[in-house]
This record gives sequence, C-alpha cells and structure tokens, in this order.
Amino acid sequence: MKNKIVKKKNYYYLPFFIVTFAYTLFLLKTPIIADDLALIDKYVGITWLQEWNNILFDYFNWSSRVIVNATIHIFLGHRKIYWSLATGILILLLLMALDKIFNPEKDRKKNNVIILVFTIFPFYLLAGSGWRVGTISYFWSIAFAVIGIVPLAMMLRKEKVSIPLLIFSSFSLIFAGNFEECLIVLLVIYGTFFVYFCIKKKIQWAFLLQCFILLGSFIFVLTTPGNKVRAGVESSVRFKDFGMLNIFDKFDLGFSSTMQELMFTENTIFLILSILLTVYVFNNYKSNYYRGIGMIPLSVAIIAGYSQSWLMVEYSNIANLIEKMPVNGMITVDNYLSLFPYVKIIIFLMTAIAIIIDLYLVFGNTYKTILAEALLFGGTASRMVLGFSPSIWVSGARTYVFLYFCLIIISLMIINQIKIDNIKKSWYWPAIYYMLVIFGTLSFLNLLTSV
Amino acid sequence: MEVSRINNQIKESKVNQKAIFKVVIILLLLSFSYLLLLYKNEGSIKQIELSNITQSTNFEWNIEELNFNQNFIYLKGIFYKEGEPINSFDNKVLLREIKSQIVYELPTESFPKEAAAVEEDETIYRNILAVAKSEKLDLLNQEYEILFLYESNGEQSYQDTGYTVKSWSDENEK
Repeated sequence: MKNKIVKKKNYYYLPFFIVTFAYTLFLLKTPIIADDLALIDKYVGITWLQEWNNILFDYFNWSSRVIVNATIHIFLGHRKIYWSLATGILILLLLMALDKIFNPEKDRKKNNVIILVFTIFPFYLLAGSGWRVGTISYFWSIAFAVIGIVPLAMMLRKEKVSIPLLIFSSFSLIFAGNFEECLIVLLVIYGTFFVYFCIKKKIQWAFLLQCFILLGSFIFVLTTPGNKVRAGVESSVRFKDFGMLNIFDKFDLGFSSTMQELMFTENTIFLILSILLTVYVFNNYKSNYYRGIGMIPLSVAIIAGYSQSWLMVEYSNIANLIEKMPVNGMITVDNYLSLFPYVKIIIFLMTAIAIIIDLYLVFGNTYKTILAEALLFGGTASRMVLGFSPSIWVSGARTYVFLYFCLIIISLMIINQIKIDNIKKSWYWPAIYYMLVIFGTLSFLNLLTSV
Repeated sequence: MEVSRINNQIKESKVNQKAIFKVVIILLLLSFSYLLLLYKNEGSIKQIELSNITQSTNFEWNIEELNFNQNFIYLKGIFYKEGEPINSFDNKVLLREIKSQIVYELPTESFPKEAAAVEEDETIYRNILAVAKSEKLDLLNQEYEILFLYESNGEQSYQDTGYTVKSWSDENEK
C-alpha cells in the first residue's frame, strides 16, 4: 500500500514532463523567421563587451527591456538547442508553479486541468516576431511572473516561504518586470494584495521585498530614455495620426481595441471563460437576476463574436455595430454624432461589469475573488496600455498574450471552484473536462502545423 | 435535487447582495461618465484667439464637401503644407463669426488618403474632416468664415480660405 502511494507520488509530475518534452521537441523544429532572421547574424560570436554596449544602446535609444533584450541577444548568438532547452525548462517550471499556486492539495485531476489549460494558451502567436524573440519576450516573462507570485500564493494560504524560493522568485520577478505589459499585470496584483494585507494587518517582509522589486522596475521603465526615443521614431513610421490623439483618445483606443478583439471576434479564450462563468452561475444560483448576469458574457461571445456572418445576413442594418473599429479609436470625429459606437462601448462595458460580478459570484468573500479580479484588471490594463503606444496596430495579436494568459488563469480558478462546489457530482464537471480536451487538442494541433 | 437546492441556497446566502447592488450602481455610473467624457472629448467646440497666430498662404487646401444646418456642420477637404514631413501635426478647421469675430475650433481629424496610407512618401497630402454640433453655432442666421489652423512642432499658423460657410455652399450648389 505504502509502495503504491510512493509510486503515485513519483509519477505525479510525469504529465508535466511529457508536455515539456513535447513542447521542447516542437521548439527544436521551429524555423528561423521574422526578427530572429533579421537579427541572428548580428549576435553570433559577439563578446561580452559588445553585449554590454548593446545593452547601453538599448537603454538610451530603444527600450527599457534591457534584461529581456540581452537574453534575446545571447540566445540568438548561440545554437537553437540552448534556447529550446531553456524554454522547455521554463515550461516545466511554469507548470510546477501553477501546480503550487492552484493545486496545493496535489489533486491529479487538477494537475491534468493545468496541462489542458496550458495547451489552450495560443503559443503560436509568439512566432509573430520570430520564435526566439517572441518566446523570450512574452512566454519567458509570463513563466517568470508565475514563478514570482508563488510566494504570494503561499502567504495567502499562511504557508511558510523558504528563503531559497523567495530569492529565486524575486529574481524571476526582476525578469518579468522588465517587460512593461507583464509589469502592469504584476503591479495590479501586488498593489491589490498590498491593500488587502494592510487591511488584514498581516503584511510580511517577503511580500514587501517583492513589492519594492516591482516598484523599482516601474521606475526604471518610466525613466528609461530609450522608450521616449523609440516612441518618437515609431510614431512617425507606424502611426502617423498618433500625435493628434489626446489622453482620452488613447484610452479609448486601448480599451475599445482590447474589448473588440475579445468580444467581437471569434475568440476561443473569451468563449471558454464565458462558458465557465455561465455554467457555474447557473448551477449554483437560483436567482434569475444572477443567472441573467451570468449569461451576459456568453451571449455576447456567441452573438457578437461567433455569429457575425449570420448577423450580417439577417440584420444587415447593424453591420456598423459589428465591423472593425476605426484606427483612431471607437469614438472619432467621423462618428461621434452617430449612435453605433456608443452602443458598442455600452456592450463592452456591460459585459465587463457582468464578468466582474460573475467572478464575485464564483469565488464569494474569499481572497480568490481579489486574485481573479486583479488578474482581470491587470490583464486588461496590460493590453489597454498599448493605446498609449504608436505600435498598437503593428505589433498584432501577440500584444494580447498577457491578457489571454490572465483569462486562462481565471478559467483555471473557476474550473477548480466548479470541482470544489460540485457536491452532487453533476454532469458538468466531465463536460467541462471534455471541452478542455477538445480546445487543448485543437490548439496543440494548430501549433504543430504552424512549423 | 434536494442537495442541489441546498447547495444553491448556501451559495446565495454567502454572497453580499447589497455589495453587488452597490458595485453595479457604481460601475454603471462610471460607465455613463466614461461615455459622456468620450462624447465631450471628441465633440467639444473651443473658442480660441487668433491674434497670436500668424496668417499664412503657404498651404495647399481644398474644401470637397460641406453640409450644414442651424447648429451642425460637416466639412471634408484637403489641407497640408507642401514638402513638410507629416511626423507631428495637429490641424484644425476654424469658423470665425464675422459679426463678433469669435473664432471656434471645430472637432477635427486629419487622415491620409486610403491609397496613400501605405506609401512611404512622407509629404503625401492629407484629408481633413470636421464635424460639429453645438448650440454655440447659428449657421443659418450668422456668417462664418472658414479657416484652417496648422500646428506642427509647436508652431501655429492659419490659412484663410476666403469662403464663408454660406458663400462656399452657394457657389458649389450652382
């Protein structure tokens, strides 16, 4: 009996290793494209002094992402296998960190759900700027961010955080905080829990240390001269009207473009989140008022997102409502006197409000509500901030990856809550599991066929 | 069935209904304020002083379309400076009321011709669009001169088109 338990424990992480192995093999097969192709010759065989000069050049002329960019330079300058193995190790660490945060009881089913949820993450989007540049910039930042918040999750569960773990996670936060979008998500999460711990009067020095690291990263990003230089260059090349937009235009641009992509396109991640919210609220609440709120995100995802071609045919007069938003923001000089853009923003806002309330209905009066809301706000803010960058339309779908990852994590939390509250062993737990298998398989197959 | 009912009741009793109601009200008010802010931001008409701004005739301009009624105006045209890179600019359509000499800055947007948007030529000419609806305007009873304001790298100058709203409409209706 004892042997069986030990054996089970030994094999607990086996699925994580299998997934890591599969993704590492895939990464080995990826081609050298886009920015990888353009930059690779520049960084082969460079000395440490040259690398230092590159970092200084980036700092003064290009970007505050000096740590991320230096890592890219190093891995572009060496054989692909090093980058594949390093990314593979990070996939494993990410899965183990997610397990540590969301599955402290070491439940095998939850372990599998973590894998399925991970496979749903649109990894292929990272190829847009080249596999090496894309994964190191975006995926490594995400992985280090998740590793970085492990101590926070442990503190919330009143577990003791070991010094080596704290040191490792703090270094992880330094890397993650070097990417502005990722930093925004982390600042929202840590800012929210700073208030939470202050109210509870349970603030710990380990948490404060991590807050200082993120605050330092934030000051570094704000004061880096290269960011301003780059914005000026990109404004004239990539988005000529950018200089004409004021702060409210840019806010509108960031908010509306983010919501448009989530709600008014066929967005699988938003669909999964909406399905989970609806299933949970319908199975745990009798009130029609709550059920109505629970239905809003799914209704929007299905009608505005997945039924666009049907709407265009049957209700052609509202084509304005469905079509792409203007480049300069939802409300422009051209349309501010017409009704449609306001109706569209009202749909965005009502859906967002419904999701905020739904998350409270799912997690109730627990710290999980705060974490889920912080992920929602942080993820949304990480994409909305692109409204203040002239590269908003050029950088494409990969600018959504931090938001997508936040939504995936929220989905994971809801699935766990569904499992906890599924006292009557109802049909919907297996149904959700089956849905994840389908979407995870499709996503992984899509990734495989992209190389 | 009984377990399900009890489970629902437990869950519903655990959430703070008053808090949900308050949050919904606050978020709805914030949403309404946001919409109002966007409308005001895009559609507000400002009064400006032209005395410190130099008049120039260095611009290429044309008015292609003009529609108006009592307090609404739609103007579409072309306005640019020959040879000047369009890296940073903030062009506006202005209306100067002849009787009072008050100058109104209309909500304006500049944008490239669709076909030109992909071209590398930095000096390519640009469209200009102004749409305004305001009680401040009395377009049927007052005469308003049409001016174009050019702002680039902090320097301002304006072009007098020589047209009023009515004179352009009269000329182009014929």
